[in-house]
Amino acid sequence: MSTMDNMQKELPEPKDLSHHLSRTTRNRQASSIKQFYKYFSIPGIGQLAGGLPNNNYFPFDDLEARTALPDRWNPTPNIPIDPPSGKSKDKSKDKSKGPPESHTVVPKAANTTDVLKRIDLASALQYGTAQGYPPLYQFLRQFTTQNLHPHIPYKDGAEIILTCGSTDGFSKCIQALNNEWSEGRDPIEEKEGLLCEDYAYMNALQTANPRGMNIAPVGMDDEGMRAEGPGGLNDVLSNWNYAKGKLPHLMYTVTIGQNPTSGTLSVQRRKEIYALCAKYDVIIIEDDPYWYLQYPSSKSSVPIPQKSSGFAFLDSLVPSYLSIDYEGRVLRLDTFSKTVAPGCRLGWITGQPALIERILRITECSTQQPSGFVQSMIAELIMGPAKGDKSGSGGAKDGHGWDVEGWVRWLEGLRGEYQRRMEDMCDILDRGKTLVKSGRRKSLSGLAGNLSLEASPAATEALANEDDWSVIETAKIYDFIRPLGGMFIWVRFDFTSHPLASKVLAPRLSRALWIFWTFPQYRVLVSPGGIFGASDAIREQDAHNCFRLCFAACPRDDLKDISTRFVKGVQNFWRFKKVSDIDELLKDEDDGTAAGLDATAGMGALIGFC
Amino acid sequence: MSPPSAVEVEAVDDTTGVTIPDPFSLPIKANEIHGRRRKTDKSQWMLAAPAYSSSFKSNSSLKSKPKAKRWDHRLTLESHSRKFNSIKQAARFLGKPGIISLGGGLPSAEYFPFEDLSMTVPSIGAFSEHETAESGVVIRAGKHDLREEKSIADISTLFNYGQAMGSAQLLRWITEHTELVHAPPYADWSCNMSIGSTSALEMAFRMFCERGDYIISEEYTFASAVETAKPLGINVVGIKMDAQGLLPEDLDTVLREWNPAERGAKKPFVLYTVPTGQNPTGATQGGQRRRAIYRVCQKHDLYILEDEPYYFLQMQPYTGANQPDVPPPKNHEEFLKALVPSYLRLDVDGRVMRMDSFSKVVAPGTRVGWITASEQITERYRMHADTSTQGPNGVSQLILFKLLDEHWGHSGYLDWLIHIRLEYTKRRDVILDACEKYLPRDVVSWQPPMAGMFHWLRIAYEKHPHYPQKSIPEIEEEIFMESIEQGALVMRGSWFYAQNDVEHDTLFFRATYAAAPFEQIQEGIRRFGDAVRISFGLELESREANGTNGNKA
Repeated sequence: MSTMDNMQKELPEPKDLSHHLSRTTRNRQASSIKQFYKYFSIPGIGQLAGGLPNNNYFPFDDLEARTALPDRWNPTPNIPIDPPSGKSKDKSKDKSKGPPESHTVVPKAANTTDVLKRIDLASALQYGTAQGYPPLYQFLRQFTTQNLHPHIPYKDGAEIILTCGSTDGFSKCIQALNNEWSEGRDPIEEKEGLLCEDYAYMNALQTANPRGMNIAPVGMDDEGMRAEGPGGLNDVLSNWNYAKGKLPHLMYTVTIGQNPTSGTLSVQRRKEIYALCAKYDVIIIEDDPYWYLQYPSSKSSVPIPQKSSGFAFLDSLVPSYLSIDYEGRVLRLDTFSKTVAPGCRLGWITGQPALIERILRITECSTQQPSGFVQSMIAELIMGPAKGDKSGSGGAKDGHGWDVEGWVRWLEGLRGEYQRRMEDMCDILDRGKTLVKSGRRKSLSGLAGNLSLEASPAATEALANEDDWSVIETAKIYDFIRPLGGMFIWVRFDFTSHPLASKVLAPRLSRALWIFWTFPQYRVLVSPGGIFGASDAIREQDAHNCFRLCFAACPRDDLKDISTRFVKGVQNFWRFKKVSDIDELLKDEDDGTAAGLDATAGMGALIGFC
Repeated sequence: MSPPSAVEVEAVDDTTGVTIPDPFSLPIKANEIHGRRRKTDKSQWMLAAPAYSSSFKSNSSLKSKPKAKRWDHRLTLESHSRKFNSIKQAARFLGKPGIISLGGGLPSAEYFPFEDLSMTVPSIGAFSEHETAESGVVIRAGKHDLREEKSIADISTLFNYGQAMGSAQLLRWITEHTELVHAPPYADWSCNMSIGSTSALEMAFRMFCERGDYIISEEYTFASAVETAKPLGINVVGIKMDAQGLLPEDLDTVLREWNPAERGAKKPFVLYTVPTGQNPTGATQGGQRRRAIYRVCQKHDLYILEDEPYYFLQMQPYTGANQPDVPPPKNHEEFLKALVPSYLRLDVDGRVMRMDSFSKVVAPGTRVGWITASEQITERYRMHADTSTQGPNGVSQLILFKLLDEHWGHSGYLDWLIHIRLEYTKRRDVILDACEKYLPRDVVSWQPPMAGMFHWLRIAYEKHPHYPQKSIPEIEEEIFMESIEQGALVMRGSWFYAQNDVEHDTLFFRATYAAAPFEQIQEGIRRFGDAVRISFGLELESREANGTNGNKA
């Protein structure tokens, strides 16, 4: 018997967490019609029972796409080297004749009876199973349990179910594990809670809010959620105020390239947080759309995997909470939104089988299944047709699928691309962090008069000396940490360094700065920190200092230019010396009393998709 | 009893306080719609641009109609508390020329591994699989067609994140189609895409119903609707039906006599109904019936969830075995006129949320449908979708847009629907012919279905030799097992009870003619007939019939 089998044997059963299931989810039963299915397979039976439409009436004979080859993008090395070699030219730069492509074809009917290999429109466009399109489900299950999380420390490992993207996945997790609570109807002791980072993905919190959940923010540092210290997880849970409701039993967390702060949680921190979750019986919902976007150039150490995934790239990544989940209290959300395209509305949930089964029941009575076009196209791209079947064609050059190797290579290439974008933007942002006042005397004199509260007498004196060019005042305007992962740079401003700091409150300066960036000479939109603040306290006290920049979306060729414009906007904004300048910027904002907040919420809807 | 006519042409003069527009006086015709489109700002088609039906309705639709009733008193707290995000402020900035967003976390389209997408689809008028193989057309969507001004929809836009209402491109077509077919008689109706009607129904339940509430439905109903309601703590009260489905008198009685103390729940105010080709009974409510039901709904202030997957599976009138067929509709007007008016068309109050689906008329795997209701309701729906399903997948939206808007247009789509109508008519006629041939008429009876996919067979259990020693469920079980023994699978009527705890005095089986090849439909019915005969101890007449017809199969 191999050591692997021995290892399997010693693993504990996942913990029974059914006491956390919501009333609605506990009540769910397998669809009664499903009990019928056993009769469907009787050979030669005259099928007059099922309610499926005839696939002859689907008006699609085939679906074809010109698709990328897995090696389209240049990867960056897995181990940090100095200097970063990411700047090499890649194939995509040759604009004259476009990058090489493959031709992916989903036929109307494939020539195979193997349901796990059959990829065609006749099956994909029909009503299907809630678990997912069989071939794609099979591929993802294998990829998840063997490559992505080769070691999940509970008996028999995890199960998966496909979703219509991670928003849908999260909504189903919440439906499965949370009882709705209404003020006035339900006693306060029954109000449940959701733990999350101080700054979090708003859309997730908006799933929880209308269900009457407490949002319980946990303090963060550069890595992400903190386990210890004031405001850390231990503090929040051990000092929970029961007057607000039940001790939260759910946690929403983005652990890699956290949105918006781009923290990446170390294994050590994961263990600390997991131990607390085990102690307080909290289920972790780990949303990791950016897991494969980890940037070694920002990193000092490489984790050593417990068990190899078979791919150096995957081995080099910080592993999921699943890798330490010996109790089965982690539900992980994955998505194709960032690896293929968001419009796919396709993702999957990984977790202990008993919880996945409950989510399957929810799926049967709600979303049913992801799009058949999408599932068959992605299955064909990655898996390709069954051996010897010429009716379809996969995403590799020779008509096979990309296969696991190709899929991992594609992810590696994307990581390379995003890493280069990140580095370009960070380099430019680095150069604009400080304000150098190398003074024209006229304005400085004016300034000195205004700044009597702040400037030291010595500085005032120095400024007054018009010949003294050696006195150059520098002030740090903003700072940021180079992201270890994800798509965002979280920029924190110090508005006390602004010339008008004593006259205009920081939130107002922040708002004016945001508007200023939209002016013709800058034309940059960034996300204000307020749309990520998990509580009113955070929004009111700190969020205005922060902005989130996404380096993923803008055209590659414009990236440096936009970053430069961002910096110029900052530099010029720090030259404003009159309160009336700020008033002028905000003149459209001041018509309503709460317009600013409303606008911030609206911003979330429009630009905060992820 | 002569079969009811499958085509319901109702006079409009019998209405009491309900004005129904004559289908003939529709404000627009299918082939005119494109020409009437309002000129639009290009930004409307851009990435994740919000879109509203109101931008796409014809001007006549907006004019001089009353606004829908408000439903604040019916919405759940959960739905009320969904935050409305005023996007106007932000949109003002996004609209600035040349502005580039570092705000949104949308991935760059450069990294989508798709360069173009193409599919072979039927050309107009040559709709069958066979014809498509010969004369099918390849339609293609490129990655940057919008930027290159080749199309208003492309991969880079629709494969990215979108809004919960769906893309403007497809929403325009859907709105126009809805206006063409249903012309809702109030001003502020609007459409919002769904990811299928099961999902839409689940969301509607959560918008209107609290734990412990009752909803109303047909006494035999779509099993999945009950299964969606049950775990939410929602109970179902079934209303008696006849050949035309739900009975308005019984609906009124149940509501009038509702005793909250006895029922342990407040008087229900949500009606869930499948008015056309109902699943499982195949019943279609005629125009008069719908008006009568609508009046009861007005009287008791009900909100109607109209689930209409089979609306366009309305068929030609059944003329009987070996009788000449009714000629197909000559033109679009005749086709549209032959359709039973929807509740949406009758909905002067704005008390209907209609659920449409592409599942039965295009393909279930598209996972695209839409709801139509007053703006208040679609807005709540949108807020809900934002944090759960989001909009439908962009791949299906792009494919449907290319097919329905650019390739077929409204006019070609109506031709397709006529094609589907005639195809289902053929299938329905095959099963009815087989029933007449193979079923024992003295114990099995049926109404020819006028729409949908299902044939509902009534068993005269009282003639069963072991009745009443054997109960109705036992006889049902016996016939079901015998049918499997004979090699035919049909659905038991009891699977579709709205209320399992109520005793039923009817016994039905459901057979479908939607999918199986013709010979298999005939053979399946023959076997089922044998099963009934065996159970009832009747002579197996059809054995001989099989001897002569057997070669066919």
